Amino acid sequence: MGVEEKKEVDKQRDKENRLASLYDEYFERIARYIYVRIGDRDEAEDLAGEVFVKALESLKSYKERGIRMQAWLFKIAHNLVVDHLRKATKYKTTFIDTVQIEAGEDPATTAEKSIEIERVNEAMQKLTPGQREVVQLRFFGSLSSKEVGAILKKSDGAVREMQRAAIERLRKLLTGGVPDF
Amino acid sequence: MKDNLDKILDECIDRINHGESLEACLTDYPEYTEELRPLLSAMLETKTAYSFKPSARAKNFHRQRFTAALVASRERRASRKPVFTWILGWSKVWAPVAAVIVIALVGYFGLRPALMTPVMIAQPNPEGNFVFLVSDEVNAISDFEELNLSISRVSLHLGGDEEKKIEFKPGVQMVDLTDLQGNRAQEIWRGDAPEGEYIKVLLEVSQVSGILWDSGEEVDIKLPSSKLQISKPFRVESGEVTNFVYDLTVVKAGKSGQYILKPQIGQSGADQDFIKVELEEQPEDNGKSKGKPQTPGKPGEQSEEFKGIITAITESANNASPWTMTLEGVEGDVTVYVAELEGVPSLGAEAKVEGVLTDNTIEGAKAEIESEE
Repeated sequence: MGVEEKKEVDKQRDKENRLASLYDEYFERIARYIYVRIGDRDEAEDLAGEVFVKALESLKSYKERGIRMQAWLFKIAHNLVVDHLRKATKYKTTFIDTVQIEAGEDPATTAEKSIEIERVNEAMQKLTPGQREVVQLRFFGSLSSKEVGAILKKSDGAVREMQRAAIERLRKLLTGGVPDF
Repeated sequence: MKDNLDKILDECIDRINHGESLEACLTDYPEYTEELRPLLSAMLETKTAYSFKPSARAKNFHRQRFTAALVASRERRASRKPVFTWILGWSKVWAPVAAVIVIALVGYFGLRPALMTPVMIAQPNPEGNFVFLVSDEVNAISDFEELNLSISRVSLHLGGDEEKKIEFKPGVQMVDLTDLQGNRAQEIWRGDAPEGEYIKVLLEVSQVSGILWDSGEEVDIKLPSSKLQISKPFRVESGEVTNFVYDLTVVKAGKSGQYILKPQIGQSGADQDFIKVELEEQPEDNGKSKGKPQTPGKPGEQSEEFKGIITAITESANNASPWTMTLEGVEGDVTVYVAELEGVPSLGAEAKVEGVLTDNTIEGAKAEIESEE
């Protein structure tokens, strides 16, 4: 093996090790981010698993000088979600919690929780796509504004502005007010 | 000012994301408390509504998949070295192209199977070892004259080191949950399922519609997802029959009054007692479509036709139901809850009522106002 080739193999191995080390912390965050976007717990878990396998497949194209690997994973997650939603059949479903009713649990309470999710989801749907994406990546992916900016190709200042506007609109919608459009 | 607020809000969101409380952040910025509090509260409300923690089982399963893909990738890289070296020796110009092709082929053919859970299509068999039944735990089902559910597919997930999925299309795809209240259950598929420990059952619902007793209106029933999941382990043996009851329940949300259909894990499983509802025992005119909804333990009550005079009427209800009336051959006034109505009811009007009479009450009646006095 030549020196250059060995360097390449080592670099690849190093990236693989870093990706593996992110699994424990980021699987949950990515699953949560996907769940918020598609509303199905099972699918969210499966797609989160697929994000890591896809990342492994595309690791060669990942440039270390670009965005951080964590943020890059969310970019892959975003693409998978878009693809998933495009393929999804148009069942009459709504975004409500998929928690099963356990024995002894009050179904009315569970239903109320579902309605609360739906209420918040309805408010989320009234945000602009850009605002929604910022909220999803910041609140559920726990990415920094800078990382969100790198994914959305915006400055961190622009992300912060979108974030504030999004939260103000959410607040008005959730408190029953009419947001200024 | 706005820019400053943006930055402080951003910092507080970061801190909350990392586990700090809202109050801790507000304490550091007392001059912004008034503006920050409602914004951060909205953020927390949004976060809380979607609170979701993936299951440890799913996390472990996908970790194994990832590790397997990683190992496979490394093995393949090691095994293609001679070819890669040969290509490099042949031409440095073509090497990157060839490498991309090799990676793409290895990626597609080598790793692709690891991305998917293997699926096995189970075949129906009237003598098979696995029977799948659907039932309904009573919650708000009595509000419905009909609650039809169309089930397009069922997936059974086999546990173990390598998760497998067994799928089948139900022989009976449409069930009316009002027929399956309590421990009444309808077989929708019987066939051969591989022996083993199963960990999860998914029911794919393509359509759900309900008709209310009191108004006769079709109402929107919400589904949590097109795939309703129950994670309740059970075992299937090749030499014996396993009856798995999948229990669903329709609940009414208190504030909004919306109906939601959900899996009921406590009443589901391979260990549930049930009364099997045979399709041939469900004649079309068994009173369900005309009379009182069947209640557990009272299947098959017969609908009858009565004539009488309306003696009292509920003004507030949209369909003037319930009302009270005298009925020929019945002692005492009878309270009638109407599901289908023809004509305008009024005090003293003669009405023809069809339904099941129990304790001087008819629920879900079909009524026709014949004449007014």
